[in-house]
Amino acid sequence: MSNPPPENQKLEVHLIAKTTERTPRPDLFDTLWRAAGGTTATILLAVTLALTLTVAAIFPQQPPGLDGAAEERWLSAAAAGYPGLGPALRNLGIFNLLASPWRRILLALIAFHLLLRLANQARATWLARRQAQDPAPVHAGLPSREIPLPGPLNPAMERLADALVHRYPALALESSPEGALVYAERRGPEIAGPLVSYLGGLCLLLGLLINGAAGWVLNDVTLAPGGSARAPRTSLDISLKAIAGNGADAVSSVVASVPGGTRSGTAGYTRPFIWGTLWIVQRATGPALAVTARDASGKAILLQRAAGQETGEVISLPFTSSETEQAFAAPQRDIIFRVVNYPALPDQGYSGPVFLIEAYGGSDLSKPLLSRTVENEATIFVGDATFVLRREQHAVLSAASVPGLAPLALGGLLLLAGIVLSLWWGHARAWIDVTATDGALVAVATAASPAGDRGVLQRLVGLIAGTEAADAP
Amino acid sequence: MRLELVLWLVAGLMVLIGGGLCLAVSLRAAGQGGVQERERELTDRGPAVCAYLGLATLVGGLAWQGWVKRAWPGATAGEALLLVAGAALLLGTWVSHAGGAPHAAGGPRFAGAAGLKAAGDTEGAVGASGRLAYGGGLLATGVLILGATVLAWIVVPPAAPQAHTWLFGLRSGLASLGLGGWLFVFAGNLAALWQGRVNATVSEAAPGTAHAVLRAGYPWLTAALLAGWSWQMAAYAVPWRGVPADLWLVVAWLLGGAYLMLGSARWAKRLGAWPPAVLSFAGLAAALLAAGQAGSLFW
Repeated sequence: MSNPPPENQKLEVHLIAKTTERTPRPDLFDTLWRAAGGTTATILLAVTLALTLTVAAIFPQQPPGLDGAAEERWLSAAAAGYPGLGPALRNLGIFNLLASPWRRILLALIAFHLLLRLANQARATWLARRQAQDPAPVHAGLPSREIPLPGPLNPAMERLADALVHRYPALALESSPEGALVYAERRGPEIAGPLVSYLGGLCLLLGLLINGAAGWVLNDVTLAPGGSARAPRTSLDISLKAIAGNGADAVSSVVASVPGGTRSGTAGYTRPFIWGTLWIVQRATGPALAVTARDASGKAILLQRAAGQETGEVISLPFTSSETEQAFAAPQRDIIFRVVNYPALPDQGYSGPVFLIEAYGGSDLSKPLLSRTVENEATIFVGDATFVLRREQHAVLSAASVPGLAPLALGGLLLLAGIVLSLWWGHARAWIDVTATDGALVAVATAASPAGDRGVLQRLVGLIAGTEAADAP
Repeated sequence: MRLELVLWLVAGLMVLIGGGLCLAVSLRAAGQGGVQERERELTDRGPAVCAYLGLATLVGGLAWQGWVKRAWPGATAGEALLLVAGAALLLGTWVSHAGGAPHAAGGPRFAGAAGLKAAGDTEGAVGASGRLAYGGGLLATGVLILGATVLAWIVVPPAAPQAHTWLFGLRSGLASLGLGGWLFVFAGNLAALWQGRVNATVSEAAPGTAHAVLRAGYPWLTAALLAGWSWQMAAYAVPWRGVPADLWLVVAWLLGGAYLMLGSARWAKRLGAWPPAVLSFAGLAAALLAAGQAGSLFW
């Protein structure tokens, strides 16, 4: 005999009767709600966003943080890469798709859709705890097996329902004189999967919204030790104190200052300096040349960087892969220096990096007054002035304020948890088609589960066979 | 010749042999209307053994190269594509053994690709359809391994310092697990389209296999997005930079979600095998581009 269902587990068997009643016509609001929150809308929005991102992946996208002349220069260069099509692509906003109104509209639509799905799913999750939903169709490819059942039909179906309800609390049964169809579901934490993923998606969008509204990015700040930079539209100053180590182990010591306070720390590759919502990372390091000068009395001579018109008693010239030549001047002495960074000069006996220094008199740039190479440190004399040159490193830093990081992280984790619950948890479905032919009953059992169809079928067959055994004398 | 290139070459050839064997039996079975039990046992084990040996050789080559370069694999197009191929072998063969998602109670017995035997399918035609999908997937993976080996032979850029962290290794590994499934998803849909001309019922089995592979890989793809955002926060101070590798990864993720949801859309069923086949092709293209553009992560 099969055990009765536990008291706290109410048996819910829904008899699905074929009805001839006309279904009431849904009103416009219901129709719109269903359309906007349905699976088709999800697929359409996902594919539309995928197409948008595809276009963004194919065409170069404007880096964040550019404005004014820099933006214009970048857009002109990007358009020039597509002869004939460039201006049209630029007018369509293809080069700025990731910050375009279209992307914002699309994300707003997705947020609205997720809200509707969240509301629908919350209700469905509550109802679905114990109740079978509309039977899903059996698709080919699912494993199934035939099991003979002792008749007659009605007592056999009662025994079957008794046996199944312990393992499959949600059960639907449709019967006719020729046979019966049982659809059974076992649901656990996985029923919350879609709900959790929609919530995660909304949190992600909230994080993006906060970052877009209150965050900023400052890219490619090239600083030599002692140098500083101010983030545009903010009151943040970033200074580089020193760089320790070389190559992948290089670490920059940085100081961040805002009107309310100052904080110092280190930033290496993938080891950011974090201060509240402010993140500073070191993106690259490279060679730099520090220069000081004194006259015969030991008094410092003012130096000027030609490129940035920066002046000081100590200047530092950073060299990047795209900027291998620099210049500086001693305006009071009317001397201009040209410095070229070489990774090696084998024909001159240098197998490692070396600087070539040339000094010119201000009035004659055709022939250098002096030309020499510097590996690490050198002192050169031009007239009564003494120039001390020393190799050091520069760092390329990036800084960003990411106020939406917490909702982004929470959203990502919820999304992952929801997807794992939905796809990998043990939601099991079973279909048992019982046919009565010539007084004999035959059940065809089919099972499906993300955790493995065949294992679930094996246990299902065991349950059905148990009803047969219980019936045996 | 570099050791890792030799290992990858061997892996590619091994996988091609497995795929060819599997396809040959499938096509012979289609011609004869069935396949002998002994023949099935042999040809089911053969491709799986080839796939696992190929996977081991492939991973050996990646580990050797990582050791030599002192960097996690996945920073260049060649390495990223090889990782995707390795993950495809693992997911495709694992799911095909188990007949369901990972950790399914399938046991070690290889019961035909997907081991499916639908109601009324006395000839095992559904199993043959799954085998066809598996063989096609193996062939595609073999071609990918050989192509990526050539790419890795031609282009050897130095590893960026940002690739030296375990977070990047995590991102690469998870992304390849998520993207690799697309190869078998596409092969499953191609098999369905091909067999659909012969037997409409049987043609549904191959998308079933494809669905199971994608279902197994999709959470990994989601985890890859999270690991990628974390790595970018650490390396570039922003979670999302919109570089091509990032964008293609998200495109593959979105298309994967759409593919999984397509199964519950009634209108899609009426359109037959074409909508999932088109989505699977787009997903595979996005997956290969996401791996092929791995270098853009260091822009």
